[in-house]
Amino acid sequence: MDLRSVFNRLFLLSGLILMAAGCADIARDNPLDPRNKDSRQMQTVLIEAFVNTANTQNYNEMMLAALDSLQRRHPQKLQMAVYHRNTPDFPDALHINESELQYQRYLTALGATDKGTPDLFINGIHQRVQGASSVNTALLRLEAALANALNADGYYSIETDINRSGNQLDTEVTLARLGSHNGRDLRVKAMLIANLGAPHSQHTVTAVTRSAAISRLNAGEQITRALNGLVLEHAAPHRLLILVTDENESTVYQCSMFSL
Amino acid sequence: MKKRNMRNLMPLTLTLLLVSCNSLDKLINGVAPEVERITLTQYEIDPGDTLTASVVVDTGDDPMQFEWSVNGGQLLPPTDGSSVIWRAPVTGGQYRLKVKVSNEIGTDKAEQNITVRSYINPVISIQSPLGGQFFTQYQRIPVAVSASHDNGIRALRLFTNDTLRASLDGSAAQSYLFQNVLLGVAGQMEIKIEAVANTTDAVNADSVFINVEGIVPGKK
Repeated sequence: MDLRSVFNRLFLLSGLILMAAGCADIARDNPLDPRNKDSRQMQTVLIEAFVNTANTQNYNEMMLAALDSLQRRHPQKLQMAVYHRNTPDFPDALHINESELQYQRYLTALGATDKGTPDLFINGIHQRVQGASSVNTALLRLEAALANALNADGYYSIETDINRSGNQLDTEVTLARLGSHNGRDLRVKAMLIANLGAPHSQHTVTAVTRSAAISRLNAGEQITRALNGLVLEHAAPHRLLILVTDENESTVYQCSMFSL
Repeated sequence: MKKRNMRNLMPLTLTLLLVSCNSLDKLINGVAPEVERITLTQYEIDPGDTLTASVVVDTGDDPMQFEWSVNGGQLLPPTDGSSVIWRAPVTGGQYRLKVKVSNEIGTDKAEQNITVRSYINPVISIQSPLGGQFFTQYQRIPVAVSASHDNGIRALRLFTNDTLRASLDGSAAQSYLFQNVLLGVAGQMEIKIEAVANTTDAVNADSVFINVEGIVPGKK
């Protein structure tokens, strides 16, 4: 071995040692790095609307129009999910079982018994907005209800790996806990959001998975859950919405929308 | 000398004895006043007008002394007789006239209310709900009101969009609560409360406009 090659190896080795030492000293100051104790991201606000568009009044349509205006005002900060519910006199063709199950979860969490449509929940039971008498007043009330939710910090980041086979979707969700506090007693679920093409129908919920439980997610850690079995029953374009909630599925901590 | 002094003192002593006996006799056999009532020439009166009050005394030895007092208005002199003239004040309301009748034996009293009519309108204010508030159709809400009048409130009436929905009797309290007012119609709703005063039936009203958001009721 000649002197030059020994010298080169020594040089390389010392460089590697220096890099390793240097890397250990780099501060984790990326706000999206789960291992940064100060990490966080903007919480995307979820508005879930329970509507019935089969009845003879137009209160639900007013609220849906207001929601569309709201989305245009806050395109990066809001996601919408519109569930259709049957009412005693007006069965809705877009009703799914999960609509009623989720609605009842919210009412139970609130200790409320007054049912009706339109009925909206912001980040779960954080805020509730019921009824509409005009698009303008509905928009006014929604803006007021959103005031504290917009620009709030979120402490979960969501990534997905989507596998589509025909009209069936299987999803692997990776959830990371940001910040310095641990997450406990969480649930994660996925739902298909269809754009049905008709006015004010871009956010229709057509299918929801059962939620998967996460008993603990420490700060800086990641965890993966499989959410399988979603079926695309409509030919319309769909997107995939992932939610992280509390164990009762009544408070939404974070949501993310993914294209299919 | 001693005998002359005694003789001079005799008339005085006898006089004193006579007076004492008279007083004693009165104390034992005299009659204290017993007042039956006060009568008035009118029991309701307009501000600034006058009435005559007289005390009716059932029994009692003369002479009697009369002492009149009242918590408003003006007693016109003379005020030491069995009758007195009273001028009503400007402010309406309930006033209390009193008389104390005394003689050497004892004292008795009487009182009488007088209503002074107030022609001003009741003061009324809706405390809740607030104007511009949002509610959901079919919700039942409380409506809190404060209302007062110098002659008291006879009744309160609640209207929604000019339709009579409920009424309450007036009371001495100034705060009233209509409970469970049904918001049956969607859209802007006027809640109006009318207050009617006692005596003069003067009326005043207050109203607020609230928003009732329409809803299609679900299964209970």
